[in-house]
Amino acid sequence: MRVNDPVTPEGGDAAATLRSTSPAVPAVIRVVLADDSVLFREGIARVLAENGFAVAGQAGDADELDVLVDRARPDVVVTDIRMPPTNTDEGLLAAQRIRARHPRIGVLVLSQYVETRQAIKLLQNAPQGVGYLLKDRVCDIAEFADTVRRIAHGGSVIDPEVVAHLLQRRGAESALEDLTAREQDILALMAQGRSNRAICERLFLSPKTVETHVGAIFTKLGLLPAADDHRRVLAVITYLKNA
Amino acid sequence: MDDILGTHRCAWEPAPFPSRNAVLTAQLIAQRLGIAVFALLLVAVWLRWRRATRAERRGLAPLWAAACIYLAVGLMGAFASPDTTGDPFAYLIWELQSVLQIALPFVFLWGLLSARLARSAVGDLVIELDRPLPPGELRASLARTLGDPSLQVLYPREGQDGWVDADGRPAPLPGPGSGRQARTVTVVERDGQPLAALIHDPALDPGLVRAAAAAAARAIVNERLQAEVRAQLEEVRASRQRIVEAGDAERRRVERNLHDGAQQRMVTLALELAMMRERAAGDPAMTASLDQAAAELKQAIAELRELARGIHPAILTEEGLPAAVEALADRSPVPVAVRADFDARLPGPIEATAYFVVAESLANVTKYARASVAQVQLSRRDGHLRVEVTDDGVGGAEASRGSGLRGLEDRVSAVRGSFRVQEAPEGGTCVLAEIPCDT
Repeated sequence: MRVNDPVTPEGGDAAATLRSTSPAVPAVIRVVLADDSVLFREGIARVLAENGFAVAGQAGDADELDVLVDRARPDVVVTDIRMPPTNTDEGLLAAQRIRARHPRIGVLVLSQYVETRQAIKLLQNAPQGVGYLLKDRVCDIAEFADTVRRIAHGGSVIDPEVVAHLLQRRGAESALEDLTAREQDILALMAQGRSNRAICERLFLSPKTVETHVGAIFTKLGLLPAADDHRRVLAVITYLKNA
Repeated sequence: MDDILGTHRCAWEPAPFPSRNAVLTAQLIAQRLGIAVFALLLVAVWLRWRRATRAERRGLAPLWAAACIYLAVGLMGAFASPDTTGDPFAYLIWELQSVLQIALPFVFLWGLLSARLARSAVGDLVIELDRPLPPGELRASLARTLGDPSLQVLYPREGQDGWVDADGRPAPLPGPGSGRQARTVTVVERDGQPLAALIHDPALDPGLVRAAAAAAARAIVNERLQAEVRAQLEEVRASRQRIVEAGDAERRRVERNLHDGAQQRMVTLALELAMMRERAAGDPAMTASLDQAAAELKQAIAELRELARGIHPAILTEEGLPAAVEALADRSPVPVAVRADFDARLPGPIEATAYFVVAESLANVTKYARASVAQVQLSRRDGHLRVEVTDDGVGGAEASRGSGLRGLEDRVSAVRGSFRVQEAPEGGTCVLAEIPCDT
């Protein structure tokens, strides 16, 4: 995996960076859903509608999803990974197709299992505006709504379980060993696409403390500091994968 | 032989012809006739050779050789000087021609007798086969004795239809082919029951074949018993593989049912609870009990997920062996380094077997080895998949003890693989499985 975008140095204009890389997102985010379970789809549709999203359509399999995306041009697609006809990784392939054909449409892939390989597959060809989450994460409604919003704005989101596995995998033999427990927590949140402010709220830390930790992480991993949320995810993933 | 009356007339030579011209004419006619007959003979032998099977060619070979030599000498004679007394070379050719003319009938006779001579080889066969034979040696001996390299020996199955070769592999009796593909089946019987079938060249003398079969009778009985045992072993192995594959298919079906059924319903239910929780935000008692229900459900979902993954991991079907082994390593409490020198897909039963070897071995590492680190190595070499799981723990594992390792050994041998558990060089345990995979 390679990150081609230049990394904005710390202290740069974060808002400007966001504007330059993100599609223009309207006030109401339009979402297309794909899952072979009608009940689950309806549940998600209700959750999204109640949280200010517009559900532009629902699909029961990958073919329907392709047609629907071409017609409805949503801002975000939320799709299950396993759908008919083969019930394997249709959702993942559909996500890659959609990202290739419509780079402005964000895709969130949900799965009963999260696997490192699939996360890397999804992120390496389309590192912006993609998400990969365990299916039951949708039950934390506020969090889920926030995730869909971030993906609509071009951010990337990786399930904490994948990040934990990556950290564990690299842990034994890499510079991650040098990170303190607190710094590892913050790194995991960064990989989920969190901003410094969100990390403050999560860990009950002052912005100043989080900034110091983030700086320490970047220094220890030898990465250039980045203000843009999704680029921080990419930086982390790149490091985890290639270090 | 040219002109024997002309230049060197001898006193003892009879003179039955009225004139010298008549003699010369008769001689010329005889010479031309001889050439014509010889040419016809060559054509006949060539036609026969073309259609002949290997065994028949063996009989024709001396005649063919003699004819070629005779032709060569004849051609040399035609170009040699007619003066056989003055030119030593012409004389030599003349002598050779005379000798060959006399030898030709004997060569015919030899060709005819060679079949009879072959019978004496049958006697040698009795001595040759009076020892323990490796598989295939009996066939080779019979083929040598009968002079038919394509000879096959098949055995009837005990209490079943069908024939097998010496290795116990099913082999059909051939139908009557034609031309050079034609085969003859000679069934060797004992007490009215078929004992073996010799499949050979139709040109072989049936009497000779029977004689050879009789001489080899004891070896045939032995090899038939071995073939029967091998065929039964192969049947047992194949049935074990079918049982393992049926088990895998069943695991996949159960996992899929869980995924599409219980897991999906529980996630939907959890979402429902979350929405109720939002609506009940003003009621602390209600939110507290909904939170507790949601926490229980979350735990149940996680447990069901681990159960389903243990039954059959979706990632193995979707992404193949290296990815599935990496996922195992991700979930292992003991840090595991995975090295795989391939990323290609292998046949389903092989992937599943290798996966369960790694899964069970890593579970053992966690439970018993007290290891600080483990390593999984997947490699493909010489048509084999090699799976190696090593740890730096206390060691002491044995394949013969413990149902887990025993089960792995059974699984691996069901796909013709080998399985070993040994002490690693630096202490700890090394589990090694090698599974043939031709793709």
